[in-house]
Amino acid sequence: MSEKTLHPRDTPVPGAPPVQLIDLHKHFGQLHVLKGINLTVEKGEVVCVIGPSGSGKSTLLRSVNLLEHPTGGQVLIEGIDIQDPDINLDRIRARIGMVFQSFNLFPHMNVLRNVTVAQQTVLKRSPQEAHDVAMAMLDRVGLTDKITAHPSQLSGGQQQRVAIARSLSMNPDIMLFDEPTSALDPELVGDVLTVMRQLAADGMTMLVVTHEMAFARDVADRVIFMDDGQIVEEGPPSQVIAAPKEERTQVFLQRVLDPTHVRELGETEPDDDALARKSSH
Amino acid sequence: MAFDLRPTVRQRITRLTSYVVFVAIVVVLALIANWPSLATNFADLKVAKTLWPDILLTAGNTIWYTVICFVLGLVLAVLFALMKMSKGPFGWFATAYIELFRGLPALLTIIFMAFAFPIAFPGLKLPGGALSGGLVALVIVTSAYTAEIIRAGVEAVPKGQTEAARSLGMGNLRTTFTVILPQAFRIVIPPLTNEFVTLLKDTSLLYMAGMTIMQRELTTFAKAKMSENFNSTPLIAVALMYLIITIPLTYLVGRLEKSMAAKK
Repeated sequence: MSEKTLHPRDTPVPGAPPVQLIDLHKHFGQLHVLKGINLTVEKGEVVCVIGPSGSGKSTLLRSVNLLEHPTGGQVLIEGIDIQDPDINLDRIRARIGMVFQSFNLFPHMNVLRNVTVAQQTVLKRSPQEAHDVAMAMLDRVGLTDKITAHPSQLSGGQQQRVAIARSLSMNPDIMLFDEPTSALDPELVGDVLTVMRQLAADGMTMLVVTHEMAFARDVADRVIFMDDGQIVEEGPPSQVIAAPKEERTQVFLQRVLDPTHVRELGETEPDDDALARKSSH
Repeated sequence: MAFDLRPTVRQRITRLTSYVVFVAIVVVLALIANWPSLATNFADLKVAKTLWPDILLTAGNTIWYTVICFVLGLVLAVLFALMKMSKGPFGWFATAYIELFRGLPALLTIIFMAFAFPIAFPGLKLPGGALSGGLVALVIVTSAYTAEIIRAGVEAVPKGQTEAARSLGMGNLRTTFTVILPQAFRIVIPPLTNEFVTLLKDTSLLYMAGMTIMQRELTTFAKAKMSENFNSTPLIAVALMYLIITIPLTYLVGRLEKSMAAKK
């Protein structure tokens, strides 16, 4: 692996926020998915991003570690402009944990190897150290008894907890969650959310795209409602979820919090009305 | 007539007819065949005995050539598959290489490497004479086919695997060799086996390159023994040797696949 020489622009700026997005734009061909997003996540803050499908929230999250390359604007991680071709992006990414909707564990490795492989290859930790860290993280998510299992032998909830342990083992400064419970059976959601709550309580900086309104309400320091590639409303959950000002937020929340829809939380798609409303904008 | 009958009855009649036709053809062929001549020309036990034990040495050579070419071909194939998936001049070069050697008959490539190559580059002497040229040709041919197999395997690995590896800070190469290729190889084990069997059979084309007695593979051996004895029995013996090698191989891989599917 080629190591780029340390560049002054490669070192974190003291006191800079973990994540700062400045006037971020993303086009997929003709489609304008992000329309000038400005967002700062402070150290230790838990920010939840909510909004209808297709509103650009996943794209926003994936821009933070450049899994999607923005077509305009800046992404600053601890003050480092990570679109600068002179910086070592891999080193930045290693400090940003990411948890995916579909877990994306490595199916050809057992649980322990899943959690140690990046520690050893990226952080160059010794096998013993990587093993110790992995066991500590697997203990944190309650899966030390599964270390020799392969991902396919685990339930979705267990796989997602291993994925969280895998990210945590890199000692990240920031954790990104991309709808971490959306692919899970309803009865398995709780275990994953418990781990995430614990993580938040431990002071981890978290940016979470979620449909779990209860989680956002209880855990988030700040909730961001996105629609049509823009941040429509943001503020503490007591404001955005409990007393939204914007009409679009109200309509969305009414849909997801409607008692008849409560069981569908996390799997609701925008109905025809919502789509029609969106296209009329 | 027939179209008035019930479907089940019609089915039975169709099946019966095809059996009758099949049996009739076999009987007719058996009747017109010259059995004594077949026996003396293709199943002469005296000739068969003279093949032993040299046939084992030549079978060993066949396997040895196949394994060498397959392994070297596989290494080249990974290289060309990765090149083809990259953008720019390397991608173009890999595409040209793959299309060229998949488009040519293997025999032509062997002849070229065994005879034209030493003329073109007199300074480059390969150990083992013309046969080495033929082996190089087989490596090239198999690598072209295998490269496409591997590329298909790599593309069958879900995108999320790359994203997970990259988000952990793994570089492009590290991701490819630690996460993507191991999964791609599992996916392409069946087509890789096919390629191995094809290659094993293609080593018969090496007879065009020419080889010493100790270098002979099965087909070259059979041809030599046929002209020695004015008898075709060696052909049958060698055919059996090929089958003894290939059939267990396909069976083995079938089981391997099953056990891996169970593990997954």
